[in-house]
Amino acid sequence: MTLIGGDHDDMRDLVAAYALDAVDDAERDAVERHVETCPRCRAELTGHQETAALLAFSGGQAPAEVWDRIAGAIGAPGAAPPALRFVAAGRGQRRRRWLAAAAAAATGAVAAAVALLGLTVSHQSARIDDLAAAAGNQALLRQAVGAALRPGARNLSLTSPAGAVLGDVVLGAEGGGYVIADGFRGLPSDRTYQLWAIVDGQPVSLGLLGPRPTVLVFHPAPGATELAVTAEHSGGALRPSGAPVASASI
Amino acid sequence: MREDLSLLGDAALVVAIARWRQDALAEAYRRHGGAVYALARRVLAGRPGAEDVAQSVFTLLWDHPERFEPERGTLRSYLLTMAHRRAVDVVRLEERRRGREERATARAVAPYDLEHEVWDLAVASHVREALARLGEGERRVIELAYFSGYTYREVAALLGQPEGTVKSRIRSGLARLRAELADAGVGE
Repeated sequence: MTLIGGDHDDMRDLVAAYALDAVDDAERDAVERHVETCPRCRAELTGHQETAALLAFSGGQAPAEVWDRIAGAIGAPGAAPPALRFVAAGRGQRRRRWLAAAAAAATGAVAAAVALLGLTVSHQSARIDDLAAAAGNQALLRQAVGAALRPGARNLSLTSPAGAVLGDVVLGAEGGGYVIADGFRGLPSDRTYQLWAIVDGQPVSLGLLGPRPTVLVFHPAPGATELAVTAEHSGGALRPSGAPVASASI
Repeated sequence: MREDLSLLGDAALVVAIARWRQDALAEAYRRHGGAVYALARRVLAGRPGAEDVAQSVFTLLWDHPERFEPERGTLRSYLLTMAHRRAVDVVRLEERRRGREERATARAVAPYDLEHEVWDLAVASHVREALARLGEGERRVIELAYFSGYTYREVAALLGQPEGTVKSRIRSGLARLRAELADAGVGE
């Protein structure tokens, strides 16, 4: 829709009505499309909405029983965080961009624009916590997503040689790493996935992921240039026995 | 090591919410829950559902904090915008169900009793004065649209005015309110 002259004035009126939700569904869509491409109307809309918010300021106390319902709704078992969906669907990009904007607005500067990768944990302690027991552990999932959103975190995709994304890797700014493996095919119980770091061209085992990996925390090896996952016998291997099923460049 | 949430600005609070901190959501609720709930009650005008609206607004913030875009306004206005839209949707859905016949009588205009629901006395009086200075025409269309949930077309039908007039009065009224309130040091 091209909006010039009088048409655009119509749109400005409609934007004001939209700010008060005084439009029908079709007009709502039209305004939302328009403000995406018209900075002037977008700014005007923001102003109208702020004004409406002032009209609505009356309030008094927030009722405690409503908070109880909210707390119940967000903490309830079974009310899974949308974390996996969000990571898997690749919506992290938008979220991270937004977080940078929010952090900038909050602090007046783009917070911790670049933090060096926290690959400082000594080689000896590099390991993967066996969190098979934590399969489906939402707290861990939240932790992983939280780490992914923190400034300075690096988020990588584990991709198969064919290019399919099998999982996400988060290298946290504080040194911890997470694998969120939602796309790996389950292995027989006498097999396991094993995670490797490639350091100076050599594979270094970071530990076992189990036959049905979900969310895992690990300590990245210093100097790693690549992460790779292979399928091995359940005890794990000293060296990769075959080609990686998935890998990610750091 | 946790920062004192009560010292954080709203944008920083939302960042903490994005990291799944329930205490940050609780702080956001403490700051804005009252206004959100009161607006929902006002628009719903006696219908049930204000609690549901307030709950859905804050659980949406929890599930999708990225939808709040700090460069597009304050958190308070974002939450109130969401609450208003949901409350209006409830009203319209219900009226569609009941049929159009009864609607004129069904939707009484809620009285504007600021004194009884005062969040900030100073702001309240500035808003009241600014509204009073608007003049009957602009004030009426804004109240009917915003607090009673009518579309501008319905407002036009109710008042027997052309739709274009109602629309442009909404815009000019909002712009005037904004300027008045800014002069009084409220808002930006």
